[in-house]
Amino acid sequence: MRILVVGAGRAGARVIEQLQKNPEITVITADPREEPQAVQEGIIPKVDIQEVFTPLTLEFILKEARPDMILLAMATEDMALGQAPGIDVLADALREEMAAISEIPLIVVARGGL
Amino acid sequence: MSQEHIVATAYASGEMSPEERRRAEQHLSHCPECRRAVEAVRKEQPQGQRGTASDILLQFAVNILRGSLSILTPPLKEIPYEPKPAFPFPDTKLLSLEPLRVLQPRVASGARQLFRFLGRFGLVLLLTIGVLLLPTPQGLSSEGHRALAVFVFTGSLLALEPVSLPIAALMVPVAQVALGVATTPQAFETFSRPVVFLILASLFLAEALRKHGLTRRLALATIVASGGGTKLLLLGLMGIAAGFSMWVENTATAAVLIPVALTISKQVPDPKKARGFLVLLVLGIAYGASLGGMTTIMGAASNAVASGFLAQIRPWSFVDWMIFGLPAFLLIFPLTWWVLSKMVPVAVKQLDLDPARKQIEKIGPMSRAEREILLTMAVAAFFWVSGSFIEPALGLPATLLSAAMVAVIAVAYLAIRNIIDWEDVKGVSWGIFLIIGAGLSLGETLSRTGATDWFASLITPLVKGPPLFLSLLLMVFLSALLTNIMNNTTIAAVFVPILISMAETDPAFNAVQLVLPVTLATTFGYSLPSASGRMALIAASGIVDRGEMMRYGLVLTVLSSAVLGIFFYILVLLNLI
Repeated sequence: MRILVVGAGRAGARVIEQLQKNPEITVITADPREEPQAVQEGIIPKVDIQEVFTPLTLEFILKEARPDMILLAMATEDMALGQAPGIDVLADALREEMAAISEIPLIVVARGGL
Repeated sequence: MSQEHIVATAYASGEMSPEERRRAEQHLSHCPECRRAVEAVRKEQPQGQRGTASDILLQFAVNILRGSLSILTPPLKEIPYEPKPAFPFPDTKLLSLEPLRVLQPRVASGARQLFRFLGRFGLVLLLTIGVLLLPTPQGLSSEGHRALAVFVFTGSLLALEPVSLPIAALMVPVAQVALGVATTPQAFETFSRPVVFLILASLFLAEALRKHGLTRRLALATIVASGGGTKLLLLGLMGIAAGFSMWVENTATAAVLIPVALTISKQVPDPKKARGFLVLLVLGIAYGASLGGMTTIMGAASNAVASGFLAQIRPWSFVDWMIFGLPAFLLIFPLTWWVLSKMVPVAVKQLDLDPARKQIEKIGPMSRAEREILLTMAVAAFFWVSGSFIEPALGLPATLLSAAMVAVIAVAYLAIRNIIDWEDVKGVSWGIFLIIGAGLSLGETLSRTGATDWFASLITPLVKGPPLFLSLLLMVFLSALLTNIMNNTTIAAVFVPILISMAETDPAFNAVQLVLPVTLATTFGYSLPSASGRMALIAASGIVDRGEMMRYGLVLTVLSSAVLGIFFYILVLLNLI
């Protein structure tokens, strides 16, 4: 089974760590940053798809990853969008939008901080 | 026979591998829809002119990076396609153009962040100490002088933001007490004013809307109802943003609608065209949400602050605000839509509505929770508007149907019905609670120490000297321009007490006539990210660049301010205010 983990920050690192326990699962990671926490902690050598996850890039990422399932582990702080008021609402709305438009099963596993 | 539609732009621009091209041609032989799409793309990109040399080189480089090398038709030759070994999928889908990238993370090193904090906070302290070291101005008490320093501290803190706004707001009472212009109870008293709870409840209502997808559902329905025409679609989204922002916090409304705009823009395959379209929609959402906030007390924090001060000097209800706010909105909203649709260049005229229709089908019929939220909001709106009449007529306890109480009752009802719970509401932007409290606290301190009277004595000749029309325009423009660099709550907190003081000392002025235009003008902070939560949000999203924000924003600020000034001048002439 191929699982795309979106977000390799604090939340994503924990998700990837757990998924790696099952060798039957192929974990593909997507994160816009070059060295997110999962890379820094040595959980993965590098991010597979260095890309921000939005409705505009969804198709592109899916074509690259071809997952059977997506785990959205993109905590608001991992999105690093700054401190503007309403960023957390935007992040929540974005996660829900992605879940709504994705044709592949998508489960949100991280929301705010952690 | 392939049932999957092809990506027309990829086919027309020769981006496909031979195998993909073969399957695409097979599909095209029986799919008129795709043939039309390819034809449309080819019309836009005529033979022999498939982008500049740099575009071709860029595409070449991108394809190499993607491991999917296929090159445009002569002079370059196609190279056999080899799929990436990491993802050996037999059902290779067709490739598309590079997507438009927004919401990219901001990178700032720790050292740079620390330097920025120290630099900015140092400047705040420098300005404050500078004011304290100045000789006390004539006509101002020593306490008023220190209050002036608190004003400079707050203003620069909120403008420069060395820390996030809510934390900056918490520093305001600290500065007041430290400089001896307020006691701790005095400094914190304003944090429990009814308007603070009104805004807080409106945030909870916004969360209920977001949680159950009602805002998204209505946005999608509006998109379908628009018929796909760009201008009507923009009007629809602006209308939804404005409609919700009248009753719930406007930044939260804009935040929920931006992802919907991203999904709609996905229908435009060309990233350049998609970007232009997205800029139009996102600016429309931000402006619409700001304008919707003009109409009610709870629509914006500055309205809440101004109402809080007005309620101290005269009976001031929800309806009193709407009487002026709603007509001003009805004048400025269509103007904003029209000017925006003319200003922002968009190559897309018509959008395919099928994806939006599919999304609506996918969501299914309205749930019980969604219906109850709508009903609750309608009932709450009814009591917000008519509560002040119903309350005495039914002999109900005083203020039971005040705006804040109605909002809190509505939230309590939704919680009792399990439509929202504590887990939901604890995630909202509570910071606004502190920002409004701090704004009111600063205003109170300025009034108590006589600093507002001193300010009023300085400003009165400027306002009284020229004809009323010019004075009104001057005040509105000043407020609208200041709000670009200063938090609108702070502007209301500082200027409203000064304007009230002017009205109380000079019978030529009427408090409402001064306070309303100045407060409503804070809506038109469109030019900088620091202007409002909505502009900060779209700046953070990376969708609109600073130049565009400034260019479009300034035009609309000037036009909207002029209309607002004229509107209030006419009200004064007609003795309606």
